[in-house]
Amino acid sequence: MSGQVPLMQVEDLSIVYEIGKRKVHAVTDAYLEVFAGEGVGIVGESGSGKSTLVRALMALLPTTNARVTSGRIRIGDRHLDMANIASMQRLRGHTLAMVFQDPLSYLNPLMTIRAQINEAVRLNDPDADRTVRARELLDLVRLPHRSLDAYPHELSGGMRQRVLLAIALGCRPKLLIADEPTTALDVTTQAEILALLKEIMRELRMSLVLISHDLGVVASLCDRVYVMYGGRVVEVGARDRLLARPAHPYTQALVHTARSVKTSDGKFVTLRGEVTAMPDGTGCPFLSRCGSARVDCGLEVPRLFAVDAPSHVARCVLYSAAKT
Amino acid sequence: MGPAMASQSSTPVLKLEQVRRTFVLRDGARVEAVKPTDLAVYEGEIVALVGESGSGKSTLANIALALERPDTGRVVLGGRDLLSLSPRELRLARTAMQPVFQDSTAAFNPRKSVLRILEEAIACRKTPVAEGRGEAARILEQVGLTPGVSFLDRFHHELSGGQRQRLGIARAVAARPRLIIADEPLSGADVSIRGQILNLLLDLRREYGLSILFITHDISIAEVFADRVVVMYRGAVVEEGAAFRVLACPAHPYTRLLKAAVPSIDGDALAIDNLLVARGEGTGCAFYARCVSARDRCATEVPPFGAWRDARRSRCFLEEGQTVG
Repeated sequence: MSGQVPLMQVEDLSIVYEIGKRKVHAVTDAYLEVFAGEGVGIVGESGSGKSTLVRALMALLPTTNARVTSGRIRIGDRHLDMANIASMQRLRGHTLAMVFQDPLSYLNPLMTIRAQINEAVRLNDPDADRTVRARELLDLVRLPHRSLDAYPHELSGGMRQRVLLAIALGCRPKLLIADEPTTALDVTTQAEILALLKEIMRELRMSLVLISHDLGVVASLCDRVYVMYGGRVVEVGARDRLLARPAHPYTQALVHTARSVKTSDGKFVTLRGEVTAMPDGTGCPFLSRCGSARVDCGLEVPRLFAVDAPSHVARCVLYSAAKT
Repeated sequence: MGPAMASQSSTPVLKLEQVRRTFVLRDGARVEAVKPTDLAVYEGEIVALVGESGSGKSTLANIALALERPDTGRVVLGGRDLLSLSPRELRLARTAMQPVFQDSTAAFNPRKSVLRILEEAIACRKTPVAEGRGEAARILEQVGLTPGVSFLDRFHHELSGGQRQRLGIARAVAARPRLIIADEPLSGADVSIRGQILNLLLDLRREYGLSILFITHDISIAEVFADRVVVMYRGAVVEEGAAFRVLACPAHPYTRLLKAAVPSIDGDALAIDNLLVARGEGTGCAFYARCVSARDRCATEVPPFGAWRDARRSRCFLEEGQTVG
């Protein structure tokens, strides 16, 4: 991928939630690059900031208490200030589209599938023959045409996710964002949806940003992986490399958990403690849970250091010796 | 593997005999959520009950907990048939098994403090405890909520998700049960504390000889955590056996599908493409419509739940040739 210009580039993104007088730094100084046709996974636990990050891309953050304090995005030849909600909203549809974890709450229970797909087509492709386009979209997500006249409650969870996907694809986006798209589904249905996403990416040469807490899901669709912790990007690398040789102690723990690694006494390898409230800036956000922490880890947030290859970086002083 | 094998000779802590539960829908249609099913959990054994939504695994768990009454069959806990007991006797007998629920937010009364929640559970014990507060603090520390006293006067909304899941386990063990029935206890928990919860359950088994019936949709957990695995499909057990044997080499095509469907962080390709089929329903095997290995007779004949090789049972004609003795 190096040498190419990314389809999308997000830099210096910081987002704050204001809860009463308290400020929660949900995302701090994050970045994200996505190349054309590429699958990018964002991995992290609840509270890591991954959903907040992609909601900022879609201009879907609650306007009442969320504030984008900084952030620049370049997509194609357009450069935008991410704090400008109105201009960000114009990326929705043609450029960026999104599917969510719980399709039922994003579908209107009183409208047929046909009406909901038509809505997306009308807004983004007003001249298209809507009947033809609706059928094309159903073919694309492998649903029978008779589903067009169904209401959301008449469909199974897997079918609803396909409908949501059809609506998102109705806008012909360059990049699809999927936030835990299969978490609520049975494993066999999940496998079908993941296989479908993979085919669609290839057919439409579309990029994907996939958010998941499940490294297995990410591994099955993504070429590169971003790991987030405490609102920061803590590791980025090519999938195979990152999964084979995770650098950040947090990523190492996630990989061990995903592999159900056991210690010599038959216990599962664990990470001590749990995700706590957003740390407030001084020191490494992972410090309290880290088994490799050193004295200087509490002094400042480490920057991203290169691990072996320049495309593999980790926010951890363990790699500070291998200067970039 | 050791405990599972050794325990087969002892009497089961919990035994379901030919339990069956049919629900009648509003339009009069009948859904056989659990077909006549046997299930036993032996002392110190961890049994994983695996299946997709609609497989009947949660209904079966509710029958085991005597929260749901089966249409026919027996539920035997520690040698007593729970269905023949009076409500009062049932309440007492049931303290020997305790549930841990998936949704740790809904599992507690929001107006009770941690201390009260635990005191009620401690009061279920056969031998009374003089000092509830000290005992409650001790149990909290045992599940990793330290220092225990600092949690006693909190309410459940003041705990994080992981802490609440531990409180759920603390409440279950506080009653000194012989069996814990845990319905998807990991699905609400963050990935990084998954190992902590599993280790905690393993510790409690070692310390108290607890048996655990673990209900999960994730067959990969069953492989690493359970002694024995029971796979359900559409209300019936389709395969059962030692977890390491069943998962190393599944006998039933459905078990094979479940295993292949789990996205692995090492296998880049999803290996299910050649395991998916869709054909019309038959009148025979319940899995016929989705089975890649189906033959003609599977459409019309119901395969028996046979005991085949390696002391495992499966409901599939494919295994018939493998019958041992």
